[in-house]
Formats: sequence, structure tokens, C-alpha cells
Amino acid sequence: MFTILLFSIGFFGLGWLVVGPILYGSVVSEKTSIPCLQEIALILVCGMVADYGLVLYLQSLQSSLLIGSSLSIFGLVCYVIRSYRCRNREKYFCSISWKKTVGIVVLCGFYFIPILTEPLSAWDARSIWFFHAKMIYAEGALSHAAGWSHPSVTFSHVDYPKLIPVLAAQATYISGFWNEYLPKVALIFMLVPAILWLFSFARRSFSFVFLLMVFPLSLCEWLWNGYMDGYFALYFSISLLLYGRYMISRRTIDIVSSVCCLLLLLNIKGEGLLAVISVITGFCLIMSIKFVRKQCPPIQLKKLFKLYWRAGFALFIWLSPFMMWNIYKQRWNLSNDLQIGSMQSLARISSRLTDGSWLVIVERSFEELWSALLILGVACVASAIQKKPVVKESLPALVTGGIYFLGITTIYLLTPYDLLWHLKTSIDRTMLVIRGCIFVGSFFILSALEKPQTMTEETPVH
Amino acid sequence: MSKEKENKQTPKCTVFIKKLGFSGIFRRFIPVWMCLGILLVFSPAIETLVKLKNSTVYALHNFTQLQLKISRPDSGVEVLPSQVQEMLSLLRTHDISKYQLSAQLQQNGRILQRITESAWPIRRESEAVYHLLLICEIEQGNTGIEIDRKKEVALVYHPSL
Repeated sequence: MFTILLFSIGFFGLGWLVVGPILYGSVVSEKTSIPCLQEIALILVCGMVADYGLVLYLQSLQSSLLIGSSLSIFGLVCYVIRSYRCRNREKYFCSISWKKTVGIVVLCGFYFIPILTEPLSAWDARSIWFFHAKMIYAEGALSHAAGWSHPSVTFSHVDYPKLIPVLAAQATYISGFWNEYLPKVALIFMLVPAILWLFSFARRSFSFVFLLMVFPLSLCEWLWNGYMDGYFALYFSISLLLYGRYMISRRTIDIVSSVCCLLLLLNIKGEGLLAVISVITGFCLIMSIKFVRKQCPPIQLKKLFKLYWRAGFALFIWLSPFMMWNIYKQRWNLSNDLQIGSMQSLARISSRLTDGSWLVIVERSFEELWSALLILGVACVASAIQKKPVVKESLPALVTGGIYFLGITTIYLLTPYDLLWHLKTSIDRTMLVIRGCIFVGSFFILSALEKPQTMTEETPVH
Repeated sequence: MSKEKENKQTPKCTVFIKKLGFSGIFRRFIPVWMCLGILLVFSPAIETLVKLKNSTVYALHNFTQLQLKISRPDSGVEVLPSQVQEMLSLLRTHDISKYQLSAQLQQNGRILQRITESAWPIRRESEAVYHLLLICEIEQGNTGIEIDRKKEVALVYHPSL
């Protein structure tokens, strides 16, 4: 518990050094126009990414922890000064109601228990994510000497991103020993900001109950068994939820948080790149729809470019760990087992398209997605019966989900492994993301059905 | 003034129902309830709640034991297959830094991955002189100098096995 608290405070201080300049232009600004809950979630996530960046840059766990804690202490001091200078600090700190606080504590508490009390036993958790953490911990550094090119670890997909392995390695490094429970603390670091963001959607409504049933409850054990797929789907969905809200609210914090969640995916799993490409493609497609463009320009580009240095700073912080890891991968000669882009993979795609394998993929995907599609269908039919206009905030999630599905189908088509084996061992996990996208779309449609006004006009829970 | 007083006395839900009308309530909430129903029946949300509850009850009943496990080095290895636990014990007892597995053990993907990751930083190397073998392999005459043995697995020293 002490480790969790220590790291959370550390991430907060480090994160404030990133978030302060991005949102307010200064680390001691007296402005507070942002809901406390969303700000805390953003600070924590930025802190984790900055910490990961430090480890990648310095490689040694000891130096990164030392420099990270010094920066964090500086960040905390700045935050305290800012809170002291803040003109409406009572209003700012009281913006989290006790109902929300209880909800967050109960939900987090329920998830903390299986995360901390169940030892690492799931296949990928042991063979990939927490094995990488152990390699970093044993070496005391995220360097080539950790053994990434050792012939005995070829099964372990050593090219995968290292955000969670690094967090787990740091937690165990601080504790001074390794066991099968302690590294899972990294999952808690990932869970808390996600829950905070979800509760920023809290309202006295059935649609919020629906949202909680979907995220995190329908993600089941994927949030505590050590697989990354649950967190990947959760952050992808939160990114789309925040973007959907931005389409109504036009608040900077929503778009900043949405982009932050999206770019975080690059550091969680290899599919992060596909997720980012899907969102960018989806965004371009939506912008090309005249109706949406007319009604709601999704991103105020002028505003973004006006504050170009902040946007540049944010993108540098969020993208540099991903870039750095890719440089290391090239340098250490770590390649992906799927051989994406090779001539053989193209040949496999064409042969599988002609032999009807794609139908098997669609069929298996539908088995995973039908309940989400049924919910979306009910929501759409109800919306049509009530002659509601198209809920524009649901479009990004649905379009992105569709594009991501095409991407995943392509990956299955080019897999060098036996297709049926690959589908059997992974389709339930890969479809979590698409299910999440459908649920986000349904949530916005249901919200619009429940309340005729837009979300910003509704009364939040106090 | 009297209207305000009347509004204050009437319960909030009654005001809400009056405002929307029953048809309004049906139109607005039935789709959400239906979706919630579908979600409850077909998604693992209830199953998750049950698992979380069971996990909490278990943790409360075994609090001290779990606390000890979390704070003890190398705890939690009981989730590994018994053969891997034995191999791990042999490697650690004899302070081995490099090992290799017998052909039979290497063929088992589960054993291969579990021992590689659980024994790390003790590395599995093809030129290592310490071999982990199944007891039945030793009985078949596949021998070197036997250093130690457990129920199913033995540690053997053989530079050219």
C-alpha cells in the first residue's frame, strides 16, 4: 500500500510538470477552469508516461527513480504553490462530490483486491508482460543487457511496448524483491485514472449505470489477470468517450485528455499504432461528412495552433517514449513475429481472401460482438422511433470501431500462424476494443434518448 | 407563493412524472432499460461482480496470510506446474546460473515458457553444463553426474550430454 501511495504521489508531481504547461501555460498558474477529477486523471497518466520516458532515456532504474523523484518533488511544490495562489480553490477542490468519491473508492477498492491478492498466473501475463518486468528488474535497467536478444526468450514478443513492465519493475525495485504479487501494482496505477475519467461522466441517469456496467464491469478479469487487452480497450474507449464529450462541450481538457489516452495506447500494446491510425482515419472520414462539419467542427484547429508550443510540448512528451522504444527496437534488432509488410504476409492475405478464411474471421468476430451490436441496434431503433437527429458524438466511436475491425481482420489474414489457432487464442481479447467502441456509441445514443438536452446542460451529480 | 409551496410539498419523482407524462417516461427510459437488460443477461458484468465479491470475501478471511504472501520474496510460485516448481527449487538450491532442459522437457511448450520466465535471471543456454531431466529419462540411461533429484525432475551435471 505504501508503494502504491509513493508512486501515485510521484506520478502526480511528475505529471503536473507536464499538465501545468499544457493546460495553463505555467506550473504555478492561478487559473482553474477544469474539473478537479479530470485534471487528476490527466496528471496521473502524464506522470506515468513521463516516468516511462525517463526510464527509456536513462535506462537505469536507479537513476530514473532518483531524477524522477527530484522532478516529482519540484512538481508537487509547484502544485502546492498553484493551489495556494488559486483564486477559487474552495470551488475547485469541492468540485468532486462525496457521492462520486464514494463511488470511485468502492469501485477501485473492489478491483484492488483481486489485483493484489491473485498471483500472476495467466499465460501472456507470465510469458510476456511481467516477464519483461522481471528482465528489467533483474538487470536494474531497460537496456540491451537485460537479455532481449537472448535465444531463450524468443517466445516472449520482446518487441512489445514496455510501459507496464517498466512500472512493475520500478515497484519491485523499490521494494527490493520479486514475487508473483507485487508487480501487479502496475495494474493499479493504470486503473485509477481510468476510473476517475469514467466518473467524470457521472450523472443521475440510467445511461451512467449502463456506462459503469460496460466499463469496467464487462471487461471482467481482463483488468486484473495481467493481460494488457483490458486496459487497452478501456483507454481506447475512454479516449472516444472524451472525444464525444468534446464534440458537445468544446472544453480543452476533454480533447487534451482524449489525445493523451489515445497516445497512451502506443505504450501499452503493439496494436496502439493501429488504434491511432483508426482514430485519425475515422476523424478524417467524419470531417468529410458535411453535416457533422457544419454542425460541429470537432477540433478547433485555430485554437490548437495558437497554442502551438503547448500542443508541441504535449505531443513531444506523449510520443517520445514510443519513438525511443522504436529506436531501441531497431538498434537491438527486435522484430515482430507477424512479419507485417513483408512479401510473405501480402501473399498470405491474398490466399486467405481467396480461400474464404475471411469468412471464418467475420463469423468468429460476430460471435464476440453480437450482444454489443444488439444493444446498438435497440438504441438506434429507439432513436429512430422518437425521430431524434443523428447523435453526432456517437459517430467517432462507431466509425473508429469499424476501421479498427478492418485492421484487426487484416492482421488475422496475414498471420503466419494457423488462423484457427490464432483466432481461438486471441479473438475474445482483440474484440474487446471493438465492443468498447460499439458500447461508447450506444452510450451517447442512450444519453441523448434519456435527456433531450445536450450533456453539458444536464445536472451532474453533486 | 402557494404554487411554490405546493411544489415544495410534492415529492420530486411525482413532479418528474407529471412533467414527462407516462408515455414520455416509457419513450425515454424503456430503450435504456432494455439495453441494460441485454447487458445484464449477455455481458459478463454480473459474473464480474460475483468474482469481485468472492475475491473480497476470500481476502477478508485470509487477510494475514495474503499480507504475508505479498510482502515475502519469491511467493506465489504455487501457480506454476509442479515440475517447474521442482526445477526452480533445484536451480536455486544449487545456485546454478545457466541450465538447459532435456529434449523431452523442451517439447512441452508450457514447461519451457514457465521455467524460462520463473527462473530468470538464471538463463536457459544451449551450452550450459547443468541439465534438468525428467526422472524417467535418467532411468532410461540418459545420465551424467546426478547432483540432486526431486519427485519428477533431476539436476544432472554433464558437459557433453
